[in-house]
Amino acid sequence: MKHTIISLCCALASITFANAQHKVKFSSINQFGVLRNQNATTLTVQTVNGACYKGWFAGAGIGVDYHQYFTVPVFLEVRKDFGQRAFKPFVYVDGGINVYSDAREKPYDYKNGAYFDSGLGYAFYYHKRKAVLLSAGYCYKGFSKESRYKSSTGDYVDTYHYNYNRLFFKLGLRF
Amino acid sequence: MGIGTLLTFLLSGCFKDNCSRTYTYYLPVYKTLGQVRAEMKSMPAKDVELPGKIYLYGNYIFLNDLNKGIHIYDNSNPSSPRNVAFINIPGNVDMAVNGNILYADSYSDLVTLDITNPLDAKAVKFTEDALSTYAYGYTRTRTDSTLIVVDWIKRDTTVDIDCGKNESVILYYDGVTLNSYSSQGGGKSSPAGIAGSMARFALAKDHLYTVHQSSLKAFNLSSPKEPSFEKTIDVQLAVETIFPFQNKLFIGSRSGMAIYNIDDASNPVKEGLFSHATSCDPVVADSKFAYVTLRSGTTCQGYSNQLDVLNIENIDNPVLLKTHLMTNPHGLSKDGELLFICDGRDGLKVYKTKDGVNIEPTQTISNIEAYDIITHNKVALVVASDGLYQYDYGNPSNLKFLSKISVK
Repeated sequence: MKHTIISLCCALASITFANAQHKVKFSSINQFGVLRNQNATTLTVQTVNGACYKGWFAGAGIGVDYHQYFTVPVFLEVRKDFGQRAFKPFVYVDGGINVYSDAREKPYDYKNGAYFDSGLGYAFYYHKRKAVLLSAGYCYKGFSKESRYKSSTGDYVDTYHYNYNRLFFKLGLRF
Repeated sequence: MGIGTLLTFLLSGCFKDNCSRTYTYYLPVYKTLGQVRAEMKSMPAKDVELPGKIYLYGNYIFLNDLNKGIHIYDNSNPSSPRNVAFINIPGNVDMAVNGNILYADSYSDLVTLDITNPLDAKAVKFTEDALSTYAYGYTRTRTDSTLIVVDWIKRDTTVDIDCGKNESVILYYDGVTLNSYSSQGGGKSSPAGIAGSMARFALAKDHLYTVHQSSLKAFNLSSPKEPSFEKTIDVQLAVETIFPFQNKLFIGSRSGMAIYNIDDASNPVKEGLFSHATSCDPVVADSKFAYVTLRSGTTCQGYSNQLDVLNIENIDNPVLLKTHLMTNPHGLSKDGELLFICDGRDGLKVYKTKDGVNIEPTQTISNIEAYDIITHNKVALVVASDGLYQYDYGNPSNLKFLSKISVK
């Protein structure tokens, strides 16, 4: 977690430095999404804030979602817009950690897991850098919980691994 | 984009959550009762796997390996204890040494072993059904061919589970929880060896006293090789430890400390009771004070983690004098003005107490997970999760590490 935050700060710092030299612009992407697989359909909300430069975007994001358990993904995003028209296709990839934020049962020790999200979509620019975003793709989130105890026969380790694989559709605003 | 969205929802059926549970279980290894008894003797020394209770007798340390048997160490030089033998005793948790005789439990049986030569110890008597612990093949009716569990083989397995919150939880318990490292109140007044404070066997007045569940049992040892059962007393408490001092037995339970008078050794009589919140509670005592550690935990229940100091001058009515907060205290020992507390993951805490009530910390050894302790001749023997440590406490504010017997 600490390393991720430091990485995010470094990324933003370098973007800020670049901004001073190459007219890098701040950009904020805020999305609402529906995530679905054969098990369940769930919702997510996320915001990604960073800088864009020549069709590229890099930023840090945080989300809130509920995949049976409440988790908060914290991630870095890289995004590329294509073309010069008002309707620009884009691709992006997110990577980070999935912070377990639900109730904690004793005697388990909860461990955060990985977060991955990648998709493609269209940005409908209605004003300079303001756009409506539609995207679809794949999202993975994981976490685990573990308990250890001793018994007369020996040591016991009991670990639950949760891996959520979903396809998603997101709708959002970029400005 | 519309096609992409459509595909997202059409293809979503191809993706599913993947959740699993990986857990440990143990497969039993059986031998016949005849084989088990024939093998209850000194075997070549081997490494400790799961250290349990300790007993000090002369220059020898007896260290229980939970449910497997007893390791014997020659501790003539505490800086370099020598692992000399291992006695196979399946189901062994507790022990006591009186002269050249070792008394040990083996599930429900009380085993008497001649340890005149610890390198050639041998079982001389099996007192069946002495301890009322029926498990792992020990039943009321058994023969030499009855199969007994002598070991467990560790296995790990992974199964798929539902990813929701209501996954079915399959728990694999083995029937005996490790109220671990709970050895009983050993005692400086003990006529023979010295036990840790979490022992469930105690020797006093030519008698062996055992506690289990809510029972206190007395065995006459006038003929040491032939322990003779005399009486079972229902102490009406969930008993965990026993500590003999002078003509008293201090019995620690989850709900309080009971004091039994053994003026008539064959017939312990209840004299006092101090009730407390539900917790595990090893006890040590001297002529004026009793020190009771209360701890919480899965086995112990309760939420108390503290040291209670009781005035026991009026044995009919023990009075709580002071409570000191601890983290997760287990075994304890007192030597003069020094009080040693095994405070679980917080390590071994050493206190000085001039008035017996107020305590002043002198040192904490925090790099061990300490459970039980014996202090003798300025050497502290500390059972920890990773082995048996010995410290010289000649200078109580600067304990000197002497040696460590590591687990395998």
